[in-house]
Amino acid sequence: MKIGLFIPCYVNQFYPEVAIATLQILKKLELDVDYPVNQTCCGQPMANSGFEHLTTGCNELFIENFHKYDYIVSPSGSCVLHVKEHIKANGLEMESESIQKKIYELTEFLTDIIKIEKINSTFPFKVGLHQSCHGQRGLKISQMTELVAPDFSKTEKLLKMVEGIDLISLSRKDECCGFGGTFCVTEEAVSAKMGKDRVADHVSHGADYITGNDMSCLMHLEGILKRDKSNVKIIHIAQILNAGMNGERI
Amino acid sequence: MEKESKLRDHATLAHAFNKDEQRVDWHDKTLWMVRQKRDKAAWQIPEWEDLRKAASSIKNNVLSNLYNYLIEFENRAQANGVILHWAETPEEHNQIVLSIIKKHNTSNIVKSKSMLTEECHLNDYLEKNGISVIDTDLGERIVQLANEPPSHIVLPCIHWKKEEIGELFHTHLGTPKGNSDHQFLTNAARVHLREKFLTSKIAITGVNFAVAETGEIVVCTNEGNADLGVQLADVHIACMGIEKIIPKRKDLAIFLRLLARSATGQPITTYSSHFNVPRKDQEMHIILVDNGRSKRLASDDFRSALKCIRCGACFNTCPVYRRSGGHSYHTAVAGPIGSILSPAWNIKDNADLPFASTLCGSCSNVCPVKIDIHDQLYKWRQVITKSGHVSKPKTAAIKIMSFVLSNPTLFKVAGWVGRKTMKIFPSLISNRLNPWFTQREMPSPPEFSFTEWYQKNKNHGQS
Amino acid sequence: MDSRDRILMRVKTNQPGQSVHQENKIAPIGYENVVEKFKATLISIGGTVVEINDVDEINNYILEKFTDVKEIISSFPEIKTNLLNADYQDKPHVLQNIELAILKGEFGVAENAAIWITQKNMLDRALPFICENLILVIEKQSIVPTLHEAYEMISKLEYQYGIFIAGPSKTADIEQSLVLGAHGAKTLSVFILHK
Repeated sequence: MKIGLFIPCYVNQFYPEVAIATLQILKKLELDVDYPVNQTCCGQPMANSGFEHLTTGCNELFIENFHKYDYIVSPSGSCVLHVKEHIKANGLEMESESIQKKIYELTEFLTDIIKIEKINSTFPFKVGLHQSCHGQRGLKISQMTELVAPDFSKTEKLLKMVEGIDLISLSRKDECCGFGGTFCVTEEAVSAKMGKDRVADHVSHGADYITGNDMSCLMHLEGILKRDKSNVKIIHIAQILNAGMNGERI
Repeated sequence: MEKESKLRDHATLAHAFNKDEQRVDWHDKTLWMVRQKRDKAAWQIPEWEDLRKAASSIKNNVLSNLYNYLIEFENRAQANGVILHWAETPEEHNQIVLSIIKKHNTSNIVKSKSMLTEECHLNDYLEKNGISVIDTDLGERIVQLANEPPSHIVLPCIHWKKEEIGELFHTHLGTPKGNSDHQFLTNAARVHLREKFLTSKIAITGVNFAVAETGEIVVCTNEGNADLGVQLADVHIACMGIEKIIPKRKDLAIFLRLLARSATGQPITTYSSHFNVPRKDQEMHIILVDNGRSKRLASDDFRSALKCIRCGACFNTCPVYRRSGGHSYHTAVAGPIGSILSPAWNIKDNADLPFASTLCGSCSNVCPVKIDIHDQLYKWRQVITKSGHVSKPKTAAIKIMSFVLSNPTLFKVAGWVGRKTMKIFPSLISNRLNPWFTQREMPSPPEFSFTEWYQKNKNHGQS
Repeated sequence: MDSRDRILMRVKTNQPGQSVHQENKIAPIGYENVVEKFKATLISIGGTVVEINDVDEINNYILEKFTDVKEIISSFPEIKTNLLNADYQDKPHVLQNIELAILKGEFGVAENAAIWITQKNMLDRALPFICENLILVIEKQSIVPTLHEAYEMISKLEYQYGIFIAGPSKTADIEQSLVLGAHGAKTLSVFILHK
């Protein structure tokens, strides 16, 4: 199987270590991974702001870059969900449909397609898992607390394979962090308050690190942690899964 | 005009609400507790998700056959001796209510909770015509005395602290100053309102469900104020949106099992009253209101918002509502459902509401009738933008973003410039003009983008 | 064309394609002991519950728990009261001083402790709400598990006014603190009659 690696635009620019970790995980599994260097963005920031009609360029570029792969994998639940639900371009309907069926967020790819049972990784820290909304409620990566339904979490399943990790519990397991795309600046007061509350939940339960599937959420929480001069750090799940035998990571 | 709209938008109002962080915490925790009660109640019913599916399916059936159900309901209700009225607009609804009041030549009127009457601004209209209506639901009475609209469709004064209610009652009901005991205050309200019930001639109620099969209406309360009002009055006026129809009496089992559990976590409200045939000495009216509902019926995207049974569960779960309060939504129905209903009533005034959300999806998943609220919020954003109700600066910024992101070279260059600027001139970006920076640090700019790293290390992908 | 015609015309034009009324087969929860479930739920919603073998036993209960109560009215001939029902029938305002009303409930629902009562058992429609304290008597075998079973029965009934009463009137409008006794009856006591 040939995999196309899709890296969210802001991860590309601001958190390359997450992309590197993702690539390394896939390579360690001896998968044939390709990174189309001309990729840019899935179009979500524009679409969520009401400008879906301006995402044609992004969509076409995305389809051009990715339609030929067997799988498209990305370390982002929200980007994958956006592509799944909204990618379309005139004249490229077949390619769009095909992409929607083969695009995966990293953790669901590892649990559902690769069916990973073991991870050679060590991360001896207290870790709080932030359930990013789109991955959880949209991609069904883990069960949401709203439903009367059996609990499950693909993310937790993988994290529990990591040596030494101590997953803390939270008061509100899956409340939104408040990033919400352009919401984080257009509704700054509420966004920041939501972020502060999420951070407080993790910190009060003793987290050394806050992790999750989406760097957008983590970037927002990191902004609050740093403003607080907190010792708590954020880390993407790809980096935890890729952490070496001595817990070192990029 | 510009200033006015600036004052009224959700972001500005929410910003003001957030000035008092302790109060926001209190408001948020109180409503989260209601969400938790809902969860607890739902988990006692293993078939909960099947109930939601069934309720959704029944409501879908209603919307597909609304014409026939409305005719059936009208025939049955009229056969029961009920007088039916039809109102296309809020104004028409209000005029009908006024004409009934004038016909009976009274000013003693009580009203139990009805979001439809809020939607029509009935109280204001009647005031302008010299008629005062007493809201008898305790929460509604509190906001009425305070001269404000309710902030929540089920918990009207959730934003009021008991000390503040104590003060309000001291001013208006003469209760002792400083007394904020909820038991004492509730009893004071009971005494105060009992006198109104006993002397009122007209009782206005809402309608939770209208059964097409039988022509009966069901009204659900915990306080008993709807029934007490109706049973002591000469005239009962029931106000409902045309979408409140359900096909059969039997369907009430599904809706009544879902309603109170979703709203407050109770298994059922204290009273679920089925008004079929009016009291023999009483005149009963039902006013069926359209106000855009028949128009919304045509929209594949937005029709399902008509399934709403006004339980308020979406409010309680919404992290944005809990931290901005109902008044930040500046509309009769706030919260997530309000944000997909209100733009249809007035797109200009309510263009901000669908953006008052992170699209987290929690609302859609607590909704007992499975309205895809968060999907509709996204869709409304597209409608609002295309119809030109988004600010020019925002439009310009997004156009630039779209241009850059559609071009791989521009994207690389812009990213490089951004990172270098943040490194060399951080204050250019990390300053008070940048809303992100108000309460958050910016991310640290890395030395290279992933693309740059990949192109350099293409053959060394291993650690 | 009046408003009614215009509204109906728009509805007819705009409503989407047919969606069949599915029977919605729900497999409702069952309880090992519906009476125990009913009792536990009633207590949790602020009601009181007593099991009796004879309606006459209620008189002792009234003497004990409602010692100073004088204005008592009931549809049961066994209840000792000085008031004549005929003086109160269809006179809602006159009922305002009733301190205790004892009425027959038609059946109970275990999942929510709701009791169904229709106009014919109320003496007057206002009585269950205007009285200060309410007692409802239901037969033990009338208790059904959920509203599904309840509405199977109700859908076959003819009534002018019917109501589910679950517990005493209440409100939590003041800072979400529960208060029993809003505008309706301040207390609800349910007597489960073993036949």
